[in-house]
Amino acid sequence: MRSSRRKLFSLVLALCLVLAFLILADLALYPCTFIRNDVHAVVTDRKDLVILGSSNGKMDLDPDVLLAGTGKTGHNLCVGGEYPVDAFYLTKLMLEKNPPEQILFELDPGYFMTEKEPGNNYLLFFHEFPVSLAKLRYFADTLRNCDLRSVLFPAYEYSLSYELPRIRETLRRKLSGDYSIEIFKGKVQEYHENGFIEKYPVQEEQFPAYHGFEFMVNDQVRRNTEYLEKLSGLCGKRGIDFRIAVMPVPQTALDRDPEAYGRAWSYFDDFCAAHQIRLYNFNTEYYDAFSHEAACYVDYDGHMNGESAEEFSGVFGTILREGRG
Amino acid sequence: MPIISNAFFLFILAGLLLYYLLPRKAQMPVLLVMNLLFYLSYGVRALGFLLFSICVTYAAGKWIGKLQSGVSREDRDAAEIANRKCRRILILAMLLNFGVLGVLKYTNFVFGNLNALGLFSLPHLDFLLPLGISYYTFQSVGYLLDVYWKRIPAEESFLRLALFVSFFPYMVQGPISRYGTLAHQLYGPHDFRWNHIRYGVLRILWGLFKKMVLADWAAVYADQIFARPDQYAGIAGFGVLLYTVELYGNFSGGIDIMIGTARMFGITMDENFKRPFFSVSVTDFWRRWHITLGTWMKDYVMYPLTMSGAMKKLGKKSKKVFGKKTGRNVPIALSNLIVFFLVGVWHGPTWGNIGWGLYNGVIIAFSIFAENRYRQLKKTLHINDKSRGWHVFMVLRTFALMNLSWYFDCVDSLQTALKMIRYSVTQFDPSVFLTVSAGKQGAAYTPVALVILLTGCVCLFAVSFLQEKGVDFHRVIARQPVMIQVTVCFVLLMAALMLGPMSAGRGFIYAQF
Repeated sequence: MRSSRRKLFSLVLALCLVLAFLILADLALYPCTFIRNDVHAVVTDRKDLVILGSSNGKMDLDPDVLLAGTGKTGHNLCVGGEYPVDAFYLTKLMLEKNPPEQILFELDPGYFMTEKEPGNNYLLFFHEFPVSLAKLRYFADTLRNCDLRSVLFPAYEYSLSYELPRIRETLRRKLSGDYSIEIFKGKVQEYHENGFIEKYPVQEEQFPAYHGFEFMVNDQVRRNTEYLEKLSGLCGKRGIDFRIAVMPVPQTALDRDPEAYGRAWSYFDDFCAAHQIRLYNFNTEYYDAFSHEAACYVDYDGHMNGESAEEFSGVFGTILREGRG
Repeated sequence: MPIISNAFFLFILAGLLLYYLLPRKAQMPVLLVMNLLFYLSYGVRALGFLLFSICVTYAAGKWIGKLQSGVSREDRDAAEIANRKCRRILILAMLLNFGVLGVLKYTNFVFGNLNALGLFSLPHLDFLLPLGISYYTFQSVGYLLDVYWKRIPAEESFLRLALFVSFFPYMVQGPISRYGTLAHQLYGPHDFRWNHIRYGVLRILWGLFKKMVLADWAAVYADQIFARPDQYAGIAGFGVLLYTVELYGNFSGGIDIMIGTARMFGITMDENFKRPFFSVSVTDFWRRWHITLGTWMKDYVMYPLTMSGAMKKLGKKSKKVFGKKTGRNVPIALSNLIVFFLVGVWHGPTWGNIGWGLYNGVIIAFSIFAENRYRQLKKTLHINDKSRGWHVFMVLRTFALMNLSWYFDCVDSLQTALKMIRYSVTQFDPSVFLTVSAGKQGAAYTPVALVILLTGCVCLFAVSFLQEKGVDFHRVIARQPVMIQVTVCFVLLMAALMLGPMSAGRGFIYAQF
C-alpha cells in the first residue's frame, strides 16, 4: 500500500514536471504572432466592427479609414488561412468576451474549393484564444483530430533555429503582456494596431506568376459553406449585423479566368440572397467603385498596396455609410 | 480518430479511468463501448459492415458448435452428417465474410481489368472501405476455422464475440489476433497494475518516436526522390532505404502504440514484428515481419492446402517425375506461391502488390528447391555457416532482396521502378541530398533533418541489436528508480514532439487494408 502510494506520488510529481516543462517550452518557443495582438484586441476591447476573412481582407481593409467620421471603432481580424470555421469560432469567442456590433466577412471564393490543412492553420488561432467555452468547442471541432503535438508542443510548426535566439524577447513580451507592434514591421509590409497590414508597392513586373483560379460549384468543400451559414446564423441570432464583401480582383486575373470567376460570383450572389445577407462584390455590382489596374496591387490575387488599400477602404466606408448597401 | 491525435489519447485516458475505477464487472462493457465509439468516430456507415461480420460469425460459430456437441463419437453416421453440415455452414460464413471484403475492396480492380481486355465497359464504383475490414474479417474467419477444427469452443455470448471481433486496438492496422490467445484476456477482470501502465506508456512513446520522427522524416525524402527519379538519380539507392525506414517506422510504430494501449488495459496482444531486418532469409523475414498475417496464412491456408488431397496427389506424381527429394518439395513450394499470391492480394488490389507477393513466394519456393545444392556449394567453398561473417552476409543479402522488392512498391509504374534500380546501381552522388527540400523547413534544413534521421536510425538499430542479443529493455527500465523511468519516458516524448517534421502528422500506411 505504501509502495503504491509512493509510486502514485512519484508519478504525479513526474507528470507535473513534464507539464511544467511543456508550458515553459510553449512560453519560450511559440512566437508572438500578430494574431496574438489581433485576438487580444477584440477580446479585451469592445469593437463596433470586426472584419473577418482571408489575407485579401487583411491587406485591403483599414478599419480606421473604413469607419472614418463615424466615431466607431473597428479591428481587422483577417489572416491568410482563415477559413469560415475559424471565423465562426472567433465570432463565438467575441460573443463570449466582447460582442461587436457588426461583422464584415471578406469572402475569397478560392477558400471554398480547398480543405483546410490541419495543424498550424488552426493553431494560429487556437493558441491565442483565452480560456473560454469557445476555445473548448474550437478544439473539439478542429484540433481534436490533429496530432498530439498541437496541444503538447504547439511550437513544432516553427523553426527552432529561428526561435531559439529570440527566446528572451519572446518570454519578455509574453510575461509582461507586451503587445507592441514594432516587431511585425518587415521589408515588404507593416502591421497596424487595428489589424490592417500595409503592403509596400510592388511593380507589376515583380508580381509572382498568376496560378489561375478555379471554381466549380459541385467541387466545393461543403464544410466551408456550412460554417459560413453557421456564422451568418449565429450573427443573426445574436443581433449582430453580418455582411459579406468580395475584394476587387486585378483585371488581368478576371480576364484570364472569366468563367470560373463568373461561376463564383453567381454562386455567392445566390447564397447571400438565400440567406438574406448583404453582399458587396467589387467585381460585379461595385465593379466601377475601385480600380482593377495592376498598379493598385502587389500580386494578381488582388492583395492591394497600402496606398490603394487606404483609398479602397475610404470608398467602401462611403458605400457603407451612405447606405448604398 | 487518428491514433496519434489528441482525441485518441483523451479517449484512452477516459477509457482507462472508467476501466479501473468502475467495478470489475463493468470492464467488459467499458471495452465494448470504447470499441463502438472508436469505430463510430470513423463514420456510422462502416459500423453496419462490422455488425454484419459479427452476426454472421457468431451465428455460424454457435451453429457449428451446437452440431459438433450434439453427436456422440460412436455414432459415425450422425457424426458424418453433422460434419458435412458444419462444413457447409463454415463455407457459407466464410463466403459471406470474405464476400463483403471482396466486393468492397476488389470489385473495381476486377472491373478495371475486364475493361482493359476490351470486352466490357464496367463503371468505377465508389465503395466504402470500412476501417479494419481486412483485419476483422481475417480474425472472424480464423475464429470460425478454430471452432470447426475443435481447437476452441464456440462462443456462447454475442457480446463477448462482438468484443473479440471489434477490439479497437487492432482495428487500424492489426495485429490479427487469435480467439484462443486474446478472448480470455478480454473477458477476464483486470486489476490495476503499475507494470502494465509503465509497459504501455513506454511502448506507446517508442512507437510515437518511430512514427513521428523516423517514418515521417524518411517519408519527406522518399516521397520526393521517388516522385522525381531523374532529378534525384544520384540518391536513388538512398530513396529505397528511406522507404524501408518509413515503412518499418510507420507500421511497427503504429503497432507499438496499439500493443502499448492494449497492455494498459491489462491485455497482451500478439507481437507483429521481431526485428525483421536481422533476418537471414526471406522465409525468416516473414517470420519477423507482419508476424500475425504470416502465421494466419500459415495456419489457415498453408497447412490445410499442403495437407489437402489434391496436394498429396501432386506430391506423389512429382516424386515420380522429379525424384523423391525434389518431388516432395513441389506441393510445399506451390502452397507457398499460393500463400504469397494471397498475401499480395491482401496488400491491395493492384498488380504491383500481386507481383510483390509472388516475388516473395518465388524466392521462398526457389530456396526450397535449391536448399540441397546450396548446402553442397557451401561445403565445396568451405563456408562456415556458423561464422559471424556468413551471418552478416545472409542478413545483408536478405535486406537487399527485400529492398529490391520495394522499388516496385514505391512507384506507380514498372518502368519507373526499373529506372530507379538502374540509377541506384549506376549513379551515386550523396551531395544531391542537400538539394532535397525538408518539407516546410526547406532545403536549408536538410542537413539537420538528415542528422536527426541518421541518429534515430542508429538508436533503432542499437535497440534492435541488443534485443536480438536477448536484452529486455522493459525489464531493464523497470528495475531502475522511478525518476530514471520518468526521464526515459520524458526523453522519448520530447523527441517525438520536437524532432519530427513541421508538417501535419501523416497517416498510417496499413490503415486502409
